[in-house]
Formats: sequence, structure tokens, C-alpha cells
Amino acid sequence: MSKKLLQVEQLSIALKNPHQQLIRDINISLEEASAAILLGQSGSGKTMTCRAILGLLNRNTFQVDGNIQFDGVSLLQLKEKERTLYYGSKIAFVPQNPMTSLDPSRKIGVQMAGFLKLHQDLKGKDALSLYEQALSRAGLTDTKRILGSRPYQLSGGMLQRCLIALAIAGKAKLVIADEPTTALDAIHRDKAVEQFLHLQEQGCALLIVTHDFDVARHIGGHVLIMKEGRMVEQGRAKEVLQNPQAAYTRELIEAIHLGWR
Amino acid sequence: MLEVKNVSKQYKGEDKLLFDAVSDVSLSMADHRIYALVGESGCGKSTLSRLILGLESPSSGQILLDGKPISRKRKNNRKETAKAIQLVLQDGKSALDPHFTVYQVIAEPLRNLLALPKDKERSRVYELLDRMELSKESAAKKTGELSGGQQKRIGIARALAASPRYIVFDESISGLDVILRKNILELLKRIQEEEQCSYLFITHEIDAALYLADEIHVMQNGKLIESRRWCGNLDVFKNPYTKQLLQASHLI
Repeated sequence: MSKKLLQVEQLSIALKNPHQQLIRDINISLEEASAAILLGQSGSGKTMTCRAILGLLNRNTFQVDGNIQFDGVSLLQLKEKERTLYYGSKIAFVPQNPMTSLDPSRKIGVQMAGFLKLHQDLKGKDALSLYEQALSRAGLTDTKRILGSRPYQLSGGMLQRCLIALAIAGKAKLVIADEPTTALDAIHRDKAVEQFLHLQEQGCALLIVTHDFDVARHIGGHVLIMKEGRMVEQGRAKEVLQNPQAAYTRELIEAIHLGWR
Repeated sequence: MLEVKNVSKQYKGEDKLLFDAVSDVSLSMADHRIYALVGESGCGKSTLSRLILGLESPSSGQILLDGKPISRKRKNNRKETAKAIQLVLQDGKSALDPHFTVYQVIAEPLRNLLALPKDKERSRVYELLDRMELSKESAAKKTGELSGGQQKRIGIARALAASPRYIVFDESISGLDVILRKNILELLKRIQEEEQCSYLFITHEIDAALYLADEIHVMQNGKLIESRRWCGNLDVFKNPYTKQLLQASHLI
């Protein structure tokens, strides 16, 4: 039995004013180098759950209850100064649209080295070469060109790999990805999934939000189905996807197949 | 008849070199049919749609609507183009002004293109809302208050308002969850049968294209690499890239 890395217990999130319950009693348990998939329709609370784990919810707006344990530390109790120890280093985030989450005017190398310097005691040059190594470990060949490019000069898929490389360079233990394949066609989607699996092989745990069942099947691990802020069903990916118990899961799976005339 | 004849569009890329976003594409669209344009991001699908809508001019080649070229320069011509061809965008949210009410959004093309009298305008807006399975009460809501699926329906209603002959859907279903996607696709199919208009359905999801279209056109690096009439038999697709797409979507 490997070690527990992330344990979310009884997570509930509510909007403070006007009071509105958004998420109720979510439990997630993730071991080191394992994977969990959050599946559900838009508006089911998948992204909200991730944002809570990432500490991105404004406490003046949202009431967050429950317990989030990461590596033996309660993330919800973290002080402002301790946050950089975890977010962006041990816990990395791959957003849905990498294009809008990076600074379009600065070169990839400079930006990424800057991120690494925030978390590790590195000189500029060392940070850059560390990142370059990570790029090649992420399977990119023309690393020099990428380092010198600005985000708008690279494709969305390439930027996503740059962020995955950042997770590798930062020695992340957990990568949270929000809808990483939504804008990709089937071929590129499979390539992106391979990237995440590669990350997992390197000892990194994955928490992936998606509404694509093919992605869930491919990555495997533990699947959690959410509906309207609640957990409807969860279990091993194979079992849940092949033999769904909840009526809602069956409804979702049936909607995938469009067929034709 | 909407004809795209040997159209190319070049942009200045890195190092000021010209690159072809669309190169030598020909496509002719008859009335009452659904055409799907499938390809990965960056392959030139959206550029082609912008050219067809007259939002940009081709570097070479012609786009003809009933034999007359579409141009964005002549003002009168633009109105004619807008009457005949409408667009539904990918992101339902950013395609709508959040301060407009639903009524204003749908009535705008009716005013600008058809200049209907007030009572006819009102009844057309309510008819469209009904067709989109939205309540009458939603007409008074601001578009920013609506859910993603509702916004998508408003975008479709606006495109349909002036009864265009062609509607271009540019990645209109991407980013939707499976249930919403199926609902919208069923809606689109029904509407096309009722309105007898033609669709150019641009997507990277080949299963959605197969569900809707009468003709499938596959695009890669700015070129049309395969065009097939679609009659339910996957064997018609011969191009290796198309096959790869089908395989990755678990269709073959």
C-alpha cells in the first residue's frame, strides 16, 4: 500500500452572500503516483473542487468547509507565506487554456525560469537549464526555439507541454489539470493524455477534470462522477465506465455515442 | 449556391515570410444540405469561415454567392451577404453582449436586415425562443444571466432570425459536456430540416460531423485533403489522416 498523498474529506463550498451551497461532501483520496478523474457536466462543481484544493477560492466570497490534507499538511489552514511551498511547486496546475494563463509578451524560458526561482533557490541560468532539461524530458526536441518563443508563437498543445515540463522541473508531486483536452482533436487529445501518463510514470499523482470519457478510460485510476455539486458515483475507472451503477452515469455514457443516419 | 473557388489566404508569419493559412480550397455548397469541415486547430478552418462570411478577402481565388463575388468592401453587398450567410461562434458567452437582453440580441438582425414592423418582430422573437426550447420569460433576461447552454441557443436563434440560407458554425459545440452536446446537435438537425437552410459545420470532433453532415470535408495545413459524400459507410474515407482521426475517436 503506497502512501496517501491527497485526502479531501467532507469538502463543502458555499457562496457567502447570498448564501448558496455549491459543493457538498466531496471526498477524494489519492495515493502517490496514482490518478483520479473528476467527471461530470459543466456546472457540476468539478472546477470549483479543484480551485478549493489549489487554494484559489476567495475566502471573502466562499465558505469552504471540510479538510484537505496534502502530504500530511492541512492545505486549508496554510498561512500566506507557506503557500509558495506547495502551490506552483509540489502542487502544479495545468489550466484549461494555457494561452491566456501565460504572459504573451515574455519569452517562455524567462517566464518559466521565473516561476522556478520563486520556489527553488536557483540562479537564473540554472533555472533556465533545469527547465530546458525538463522540456526534453517532456518529449520536446527543439528546446532552444521553445525557450526563445513567446506564448502566442506556440500552439496550445505545445504550451500545455511547456506547463507539464514546468511541473517536471518543479518536482511536483501532484498535478491538477482542468479540462486539459477540451480544445484538442482526437489525435492531439491522445498525445496530451500520453504526456500526463508519462508524468505519472515519473512519480507524480494526477487529478484531472474532464468531461471526456475517452480521456478517463485512457488515464484510468479512480473515477469520481459529479452532479450538481455532489458525488454521484465513484470507483475504479474500468468498473465505473463499463458497468455504471448510477442512472446518471449511464445517461452520460449514452450521450457520448451520436451515431449517424 | 455558395461557391469557394481556388481560394488561398496568406498571412505574414514569423520573419515576415508569407504562409498559407488556406491554400487553393474549392468547395461548393448547394441549398438544403449540411457540409462538415473537419480538422485540427490551426489547419485553416476558421480562416476559411471568415473568408466565406466576407470578414476577410482572399489573397487569390473567389467566393461566389449565386455567381456574385462576396466582398467586404461594398457596403450594400455586406448587407446582402449577412442576409444570406450567418455565423454561430464557439464561445456562446463572449459572442453575446452581457448587457443586452435576450430580446434585443435576437431582434437586432431582424431590425438591421429585414426592417420588420414591431408586432411582427415581437412574434418572430418569441417564435424563435420557442423553437430553441426557451421560455417566453427569458426574453427579458440579460444574456449574462444565462447558462452556457442557454447562451448557445440564443446564438443559434440570432443566426436563424433573418432566415439565412447558409449558417456557418465555427466550433459551435466544442467545450460542451456530452449531454449538452447531444441536445444541441439534435436541435441543429431538427432546425435544418424545418428551415431548409444549409450548414457549414466546422469542428474538430469527427463524430459530430458524421452525425450531422451530408458531406464531409477534411482539412489539414490549409488544404482540403479529403471530400466525401457521407452516406453512413466509413469505408468511403481513404486518406490516412482521416483514418487516423476516426481511429483516435474509436470509430474504426
